[in-house]
Amino acid sequence: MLNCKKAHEVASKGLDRELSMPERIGLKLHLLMCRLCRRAHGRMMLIRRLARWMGSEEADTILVESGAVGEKLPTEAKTRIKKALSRGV
Amino acid sequence: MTDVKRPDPDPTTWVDEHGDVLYRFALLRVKDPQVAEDVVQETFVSALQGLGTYEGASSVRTWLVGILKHKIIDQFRKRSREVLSTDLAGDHSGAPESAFDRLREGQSPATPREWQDTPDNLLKSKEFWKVFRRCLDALPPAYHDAFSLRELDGMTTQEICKILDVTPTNLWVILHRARGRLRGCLDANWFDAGGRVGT
Repeated sequence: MLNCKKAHEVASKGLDRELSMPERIGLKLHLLMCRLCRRAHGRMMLIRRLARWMGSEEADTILVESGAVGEKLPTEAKTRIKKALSRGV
Repeated sequence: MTDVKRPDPDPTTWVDEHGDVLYRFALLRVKDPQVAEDVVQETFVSALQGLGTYEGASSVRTWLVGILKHKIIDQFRKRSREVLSTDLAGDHSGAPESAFDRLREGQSPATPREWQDTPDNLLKSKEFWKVFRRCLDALPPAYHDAFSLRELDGMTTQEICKILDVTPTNLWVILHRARGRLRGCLDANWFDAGGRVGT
C-alpha cells in the first residue's frame, strides 16, 4: 500500500511516462481511499489541462480578445525586421 | 496549388499580420522581451529564406509558428547549461512536498483551497489567466523552460532531456518542483485569495 508521499511521486511520474501496472493499481487504490491526495492529484491534472490550452494557437486569439494578454511586438522591432526582410536578408 | 494559400509575396507585410502573435508566443516561452524580439526576427528571416519550402498545407501563421518553435528550442538549448545548475542547487524548498504535507496534515473539508471553479469557468476568466501567467513567469528559469516544453508544448521527456541536456532523473525533479510551485502560487494568489469566477 502506497503512503501519501509515494502516491504523490507516482502521480507526478504518471504525467511524464506510462505507469507500470503495479504503479497504476497502487495509485488508484490510494486515491480511492485518500481524499486529500485525490484533490492534489486533481489539481495537477487541471494545471496540465490549463497549460496545454494556454500553449495552443487558438488560445492567443481568445486571451487577446478577453484582455488577459495584449503584448505587442514593439514598433522599433517591427521597423527593424521589415528593413531586414526588404533587404532580403 | 492555389494562390490563396501562398504567403503574401511581400514578406514585409508578414510583420504587421503575424508579428504580434509570434511575439506573444515567444514571450510566453522565453520570458525576456529582448530574446522574444530576436527569435521573432530570426523566424521571419528564416521564413523568407525558406519561402520555397512552403507547401501551402498549413496556414502561413501555422507555418511561421512552426519555424518559431525551432528558434525557441535553440534558445533553450543555448542557455540550458547556465541556468540549470544554479536553479537545481539553489532550491532546497522542496516545494511539492511541503505543499503536499500541508494537505496531509489535514484540513477539514470546510477550509479553502477547494479549487471549486470548473476548468470551463476558468478558461473564460481574464483575471485567472493573468494570475496563471504571473505564476508561470515566477518560476526559476530552468523550471520555466522545462515546464514550457513539457506542458505548454506537450513535448516528450526524451526530447526535452536532449534540448536541456539533463538526465531523465534531473528533468523529473525539475518538472515535479515546477508543478508544485505553480500549484502553490495558484493556491496563494487565486484559489485561496478568493479569486473566483464572477466575483
